[in-house]
Amino acid sequence: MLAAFSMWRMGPAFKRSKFAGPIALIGLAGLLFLPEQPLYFESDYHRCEFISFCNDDGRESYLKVVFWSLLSISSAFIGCHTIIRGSRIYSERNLPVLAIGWFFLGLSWWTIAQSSWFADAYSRLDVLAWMVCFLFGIAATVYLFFHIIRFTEKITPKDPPIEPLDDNERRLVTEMIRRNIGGGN
Amino acid sequence: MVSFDFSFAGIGSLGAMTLIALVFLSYCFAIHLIVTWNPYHRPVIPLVSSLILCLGPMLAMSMQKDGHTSISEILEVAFLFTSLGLGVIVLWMPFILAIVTFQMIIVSRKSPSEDPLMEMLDN
Repeated sequence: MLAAFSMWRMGPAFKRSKFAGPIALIGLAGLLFLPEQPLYFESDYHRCEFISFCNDDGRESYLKVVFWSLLSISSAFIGCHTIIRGSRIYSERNLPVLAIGWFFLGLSWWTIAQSSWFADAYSRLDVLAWMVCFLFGIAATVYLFFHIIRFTEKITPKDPPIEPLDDNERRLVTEMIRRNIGGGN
Repeated sequence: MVSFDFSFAGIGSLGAMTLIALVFLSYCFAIHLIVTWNPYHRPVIPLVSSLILCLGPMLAMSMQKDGHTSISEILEVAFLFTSLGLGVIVLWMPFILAIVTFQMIIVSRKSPSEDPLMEMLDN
């Protein structure tokens, strides 16, 4: 799904962006359609008794968390997208669209409230400590990659400065901006 | 009743969660760099470093028991690391959603500002 998102963000200039949708569906299928616990005569049966994500109980709780999380995240995305569409950022304010957006955002909050997994987790001090440590890990990794990328940019030979736009190109760019940002006026 | 056991496979220490964050983010970054590979980009150094940072701990963990590893064991560890990483991100979701909701309140009340770019084009 991450690969699909990255491909989709590459935009229409790259042909591979067309594959983002099917790859996202494959990723979603991989997330939801987990294999069931092996039967007693299969080789991995005894191993799965000790690995929680491999047995049926672990699989069931995993699927519940995935289902509620997907519901929360997708309703939040739809809600935010609709609110932005209905607000006065790109065009005139559209109150029904705005109301639908807030409904979906509210739905996202409702799904979080319905999921007891958050309350269970927040009531445990060790889980809260893990969350904070995870955040520290993310910050440290971002810092590390920031320096790696800066180092890469430093050692990459610079391209010569490009020629300024000629009149035709300038007109073309102006028209593109006018059509896309100026509402086609 | 939604519940998820976070302490499976013996991962419970605070340092392990920091390591999981490192592996998870490196893994995501490596996938992003591989998928978006193009001639206008020079991702070799970041890609190699992210692969080392994500595969190194995965290999080490899969070899932890008997000093040997296999593809299935590495995939199992990869599943463990990514699901734990995603699980903790999901735990942060209410806080992220609170910030997003606050932003949406601002967006809903906002009136469009004068666009200096359009003004520049008109002139």
